[in-house]
Amino acid sequence: MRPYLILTCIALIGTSVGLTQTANAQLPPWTRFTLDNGLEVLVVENHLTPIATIEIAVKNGSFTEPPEINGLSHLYEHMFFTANARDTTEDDFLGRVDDLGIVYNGETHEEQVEYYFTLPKENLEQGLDFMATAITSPLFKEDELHKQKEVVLGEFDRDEALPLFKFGRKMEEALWDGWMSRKDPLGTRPAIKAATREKMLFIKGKYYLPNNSLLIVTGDVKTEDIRRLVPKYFLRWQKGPDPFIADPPQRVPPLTHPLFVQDTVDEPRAIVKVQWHGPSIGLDDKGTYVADVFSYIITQPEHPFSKSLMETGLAQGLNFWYYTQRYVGPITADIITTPEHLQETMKIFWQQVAKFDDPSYFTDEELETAKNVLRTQTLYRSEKPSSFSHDLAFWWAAAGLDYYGHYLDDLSKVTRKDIADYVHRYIQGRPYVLGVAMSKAAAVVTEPSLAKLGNPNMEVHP
Amino acid sequence: MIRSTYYLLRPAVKPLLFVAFLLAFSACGTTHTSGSYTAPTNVVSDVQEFDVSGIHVIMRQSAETPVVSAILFIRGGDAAIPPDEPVSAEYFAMKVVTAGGTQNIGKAYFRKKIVSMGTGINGENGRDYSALSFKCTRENFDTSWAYFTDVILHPSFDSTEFENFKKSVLLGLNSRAIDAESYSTYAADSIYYAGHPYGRMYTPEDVQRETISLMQMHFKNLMVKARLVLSVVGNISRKELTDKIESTIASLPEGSYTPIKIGPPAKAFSPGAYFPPFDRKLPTDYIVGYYLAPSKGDPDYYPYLRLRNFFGGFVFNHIRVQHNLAYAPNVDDREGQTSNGMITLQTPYVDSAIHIIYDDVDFFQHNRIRESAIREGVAGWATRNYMNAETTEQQAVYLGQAVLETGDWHNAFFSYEKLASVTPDELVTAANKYLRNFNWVIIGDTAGIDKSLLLSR
Repeated sequence: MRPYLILTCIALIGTSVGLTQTANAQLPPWTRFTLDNGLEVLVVENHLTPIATIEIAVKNGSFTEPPEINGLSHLYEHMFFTANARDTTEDDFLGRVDDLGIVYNGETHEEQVEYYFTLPKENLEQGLDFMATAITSPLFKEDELHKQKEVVLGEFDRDEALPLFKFGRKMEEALWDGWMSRKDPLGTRPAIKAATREKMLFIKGKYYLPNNSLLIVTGDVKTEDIRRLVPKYFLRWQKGPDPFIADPPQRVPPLTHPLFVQDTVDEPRAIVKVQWHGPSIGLDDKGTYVADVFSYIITQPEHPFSKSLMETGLAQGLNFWYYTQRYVGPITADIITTPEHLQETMKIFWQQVAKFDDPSYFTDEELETAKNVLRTQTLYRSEKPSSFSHDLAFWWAAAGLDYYGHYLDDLSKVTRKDIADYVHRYIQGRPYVLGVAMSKAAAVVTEPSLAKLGNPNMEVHP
Repeated sequence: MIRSTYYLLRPAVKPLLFVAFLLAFSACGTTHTSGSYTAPTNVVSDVQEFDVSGIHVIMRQSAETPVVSAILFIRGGDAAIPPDEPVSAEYFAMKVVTAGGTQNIGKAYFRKKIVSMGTGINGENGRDYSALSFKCTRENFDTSWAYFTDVILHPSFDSTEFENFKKSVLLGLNSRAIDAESYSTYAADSIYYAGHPYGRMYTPEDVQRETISLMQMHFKNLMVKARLVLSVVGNISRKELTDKIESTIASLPEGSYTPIKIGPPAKAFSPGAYFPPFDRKLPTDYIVGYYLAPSKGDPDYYPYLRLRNFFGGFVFNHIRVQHNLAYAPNVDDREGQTSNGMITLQTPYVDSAIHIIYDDVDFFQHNRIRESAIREGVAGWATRNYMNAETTEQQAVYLGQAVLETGDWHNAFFSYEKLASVTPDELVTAANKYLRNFNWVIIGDTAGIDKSLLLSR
C-alpha cells in the first residue's frame, strides 16, 4: 500500500478508448476514458462541495533516474509552476493561480510525479486550459531554473537538519545498495547543481507524454462536461514513444546478506528499523495484496506482535507496513524503544518474526478485521475528493487502475497459505537491513551490532 | 520596490496577489494558494443547534455521506487547569481514557471491536478546550456511539496504558530538543507566553506527578454538561441523535463552568529577540516570530485576516520567489482566546530575511491597497473554505469550534462578504495595530545577527 493507506473497491470494466462507468455500494462511481493521443482520463463526481480538483500524474520520478540526474524529476516538478508559453513569467503563472482561486501542489515520488489544482467549479474549464498549457509548454527559463535549483537545494538544507535524516539515508543506501538513485526522489546536490535547461527538455520529451500520463478530475463536475472539455484542451498534447520500451526501468537486485546500519542521534530513545525487499507489481501482484493484509493483521493492538512489544512497555512506537511499488516495494518494521530495552525488544521482535508462518499466529477474526480495516479506510479517504485524486494517481502509476479496481476483491481472497508463502518468500530467512539510531553514549554502553540485534537463527537464502 | 507591490496600488493594472501560500510538504512538494471569484454565502447550511437535557448540540444531517463524525468538545483546556494540578492532566485524561476500554467492556474486547468496525475513538487536548471524538461508517454508528459514550460514562483508565503512556511522554519530553523546527516553536511559546496561562509547558517533573487518581479526578471534573458541546455531522436525524444523547450522556451531572478570561501576554506589547542555545550544529537558522493578532469575533478579525493574507503572500513572494532566501517562509496565526501571528522560516541569511519582512510591514503600514485588489483576492479563500468542508469530520470540527470560540456556528467558515468588504483604511489600521512588537526566537548560528534590527519593529 501507499505509506498512508489508500485502497478502493471500484471495478473497472474495459480500459481502452471509449467510456466505461463503474459503481460500487461503498464508493462514488467513476468514469474512465482515453483520448486519441493516449491520455487516460478518470472522473470521480462528488457534489458535496462546489469545488473541483484537476490532477495530472506522470510516470516519472526517481525510478527513471541514474545517479547523474538523480533529483531532476523533482526539479522539473518545481519548474512546472513557473513560466509557460502563455504565462511567460513565474509571476504571471502565480497571477493566473490567483485569478482562478486555485490551491495547488506538486509531489515527486519514486514512480510518479503529480500536479494538482483545486479550484471553484465555475473555473473548471479555465483550470483545464491552464493545466494543459502548463503541462505541455513549460519554458524552463534560465533565470527561473537557477532560482528553483536554489529552492531545491534549500530543501536539502531543511531535510538535513532533521535529526533522523542521515539515519534514513544510510538505511536507504544499504537497502538499495548501489541503486539509491532509483529510490530517492530528493536526489543529490551535485545532480541538482548540474541541471540544465537541456536536461529539463530531455525529461519533457521522454516522459511528459499524454500516453505516459493520467488526468484525474474529481469533485463537483459533470462527467459529460469533462468528456467535452478535456479533448478541447489536451488533444494538442503530442503523443510520443513509450519511454519504457526503449529504456525499460531496472529493478533493484535482491539483497544477498543481512546488513547493519548504525547512526548516532542525540536523544534518549533507540530508533530501530528493519527492512526487507518486498514484492513488486508485475512480478508478484498477489504478494502485494497479501503483504497489506498481513501488515494489518499483526498491527492490530490485540495481536501478539503488537501486544508483546507495546503492551509490555518495551516499545513506545511500532509499525509494520509494505509500500506498493512496481520496482521493489520495501517491507518495513519501525520500532521505537530505549537503549536499555533494545536487546530485549529485538529478541521479542525476532521471536515474533519466527512465528509469522505459524498457522495459529492469527485468528480468522483478525484476518477478516484486516480486510475490513483496509476497506473502511478506503472509504474514509474517498470522502475527500481533493486528496482522493492523489490516491488514484499513486495506484495508477504503481500498479495500474485494473489492479486498483480489483484490489478489495483480491484482498478478500487472501488465505492463510498465501500469507505463509509471502512470509517465506520475503521475510523469514531473507536478507534484511537492520538499523539503529541512538545516542553515542548509549551506543558505547550497549554496543549495537547485527550479531546482537539480528536474528541469530535466521538462515539467509541467497 | 518589487513590481507586484506596485500592482496593488495602480488601479489600471491587474493585481498580482500572492495570497497565503500554505506549505504542505509531502514527499517532495510545494503548495500555494490564492484567488478571486464570486463567492457563495455559506459553505454549509442546514445546520441545527439545540439542547438535549442540558447538552448543547450542533449537528448537520448529510444524507449523501456514509461516514458519521461526532466530536464532544469540552470547555476549559490546558489554560484552565488549576495551578496545583499538573498541566499535563488533560493531555493524560484525553489520551488514556480512549485507550483502555471501559468498566463495562474489557480492554481487549473493546479494542478488537473498535478496530474491526474501522471506528476511530480519539481524545485531544487543547489550550482553550479539549475533545473526545469518533468517526465511523453509518452502519456502525449505533455500536460506535455506545462504545464512545461508555468511555465517557464508565472510563476504566487502564493502569498499563497509563504507565506506558507516561513513559512515552517522558521520553518525548526528553527528546524535545532534537528537532530544531519543533524546538524553535516550543521555545517561542515558552518565551512569548511566559507567565501567561498559555505558557505552562509540560515538563518531566510535571508528568512525573501524574497519577491515575489525579487523572480520574480531572476527567470527572471535565465531564459535566456545563462544559460540553457536541458536534455531529453525518446521515443522522435530529430525533435519532436526541434519543441517543438522552439514553447515554444526558445522565452526566449538570456541573458548572465559569470561563476564564485570557488576555494577551505581556510580551505582546514590546519587541523581543531571543537566541536559545541548541546543542547541534545546524545547516540553517530556524526563525520564529510572534506578534499579537485579533481573535475570532474581534471587530479587527477580518481586516487583520485580509492583511495577513496579503502580508503572508508578500513574505513568501519576496523571500522565496524573488530572493531565494528560504524554502518555506510562512505567515500564519495561532488562534485562541488571545491569538498570535506567527512567522516561520529557515534561512542562514537572517538579517536579509528580516529586512525584507520589515520592508513588507512598512509597505502595508504606509500604503492603501486598492479596494478592487482586496475584493478580487478572496477566491482562494473560497476554495480553501470548501476544502475544509469536504469531510464530515472537518465540518464537525469547524462547526464546534465556531460555537466555542464565537458562540455562533455561522462563523465556522470564512465570511466572503466580510473579507471582501474590508476597506483600504482598515488594512492600514490593522497593519499599524498588529504588525509590530515582533518577538523573534532564532535557533542555530546566531553570531553576528543584528539584534537591533530584530527589535526595530
